[in-house]
Amino acid sequence: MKPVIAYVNQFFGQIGGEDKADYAPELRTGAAGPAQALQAQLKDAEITHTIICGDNFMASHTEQALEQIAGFLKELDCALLAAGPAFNAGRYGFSCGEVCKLAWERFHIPALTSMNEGNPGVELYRKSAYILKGHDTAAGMRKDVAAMAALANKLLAGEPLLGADAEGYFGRGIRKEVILKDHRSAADRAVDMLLHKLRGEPFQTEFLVEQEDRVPPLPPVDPSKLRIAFVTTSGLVPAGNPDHLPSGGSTFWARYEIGNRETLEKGEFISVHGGYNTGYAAENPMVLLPLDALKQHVRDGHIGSLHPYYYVLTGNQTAKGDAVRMAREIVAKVREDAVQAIILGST
Amino acid sequence: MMVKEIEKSGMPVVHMANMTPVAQGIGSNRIVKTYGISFPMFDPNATPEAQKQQRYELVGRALKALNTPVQESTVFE
Repeated sequence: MKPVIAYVNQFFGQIGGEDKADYAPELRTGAAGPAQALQAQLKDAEITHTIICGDNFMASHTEQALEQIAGFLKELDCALLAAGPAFNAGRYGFSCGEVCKLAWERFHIPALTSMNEGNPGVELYRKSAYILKGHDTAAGMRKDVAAMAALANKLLAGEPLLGADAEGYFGRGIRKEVILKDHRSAADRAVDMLLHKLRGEPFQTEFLVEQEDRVPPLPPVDPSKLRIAFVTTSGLVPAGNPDHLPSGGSTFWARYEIGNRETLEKGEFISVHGGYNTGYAAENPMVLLPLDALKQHVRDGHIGSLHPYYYVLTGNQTAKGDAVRMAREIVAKVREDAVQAIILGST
Repeated sequence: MMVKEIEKSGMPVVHMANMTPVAQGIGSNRIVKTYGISFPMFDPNATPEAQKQQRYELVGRALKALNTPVQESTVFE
């Protein structure tokens, strides 16, 4: 039996919800949470331990969390590490990615996980781990775990992999020399591809050149001369949520007036975000929108002027396309009021 | 993703975020690290006076980041 170690967050480890997201890493014997379903599908392998860690603990104390987990791994036999599945949960994707990267880079333990394509963890960690293409919510748990088990069995058995697309994981940027079954040379294949292209027929490139989608930084600007707007992905809305902003998967943004206010008081504003503990915001909404600080910086001459509205959406599980569209819409809207720079606060 | 899109449109922007590796990974160029995911702008365990000072200083750091030249994604701690 080959030993496998699983990693799950506080929620799937059945420690608790957002209120337990600060839970420090724990090593538990056997398979916990989704790892039990994974165990049932593994051949000749046993999940000997499950590491459980709160997502906020990992995000806010990354180094400390990883050191503790490295301490666990050092003492254990491990042929494979399986994390998640993390779906489209941003913090969980980050946690799974960090743990996979640790296992692979420090201990040379192959690591696999599963994430939805919208999870920012995919781009951050796909070179350090096998990240299977997963569903966006836990409703897809059964299929995601089955896919993880299939790849885990292959890796553990030492079977050759057929490449990222065929195996269903995100490309790791590794080039591998293979001999094709039909022995057709590159020249023949290139001419074929060209003929397909000329005839307007579908064809598939054999090597996708990756393009980094980076935006070069803009030159510095002096905020004391500018009109500034504040945007937040925290789901901060007036009490009662008049525009029915959703708790996740925003497809629209809202804006609320702050021009005549100096502070945001408890009870006046709340967060409807479904992806973090909103108790702090309920206690003092300025933990999300530091309005008194912004106004003070205006008075102190550090900000030219403050646009009289803040813009808000709910950042979790928002699709990439929607995020891009909403960013463009917000920029267009604040430009009507001659805004020249934006501060964006995320959670 | 939103921050990158805002910058792409030519609007200077600073990203206040707690998970700075993610912010860097998704292409934010000017990043200010916040106190926590659920409590970005101050430490909820501090006294109200200290909290007020913390958010004033954090916004100050964001303003400084806007006014600092960067060549690549940079975290202002």
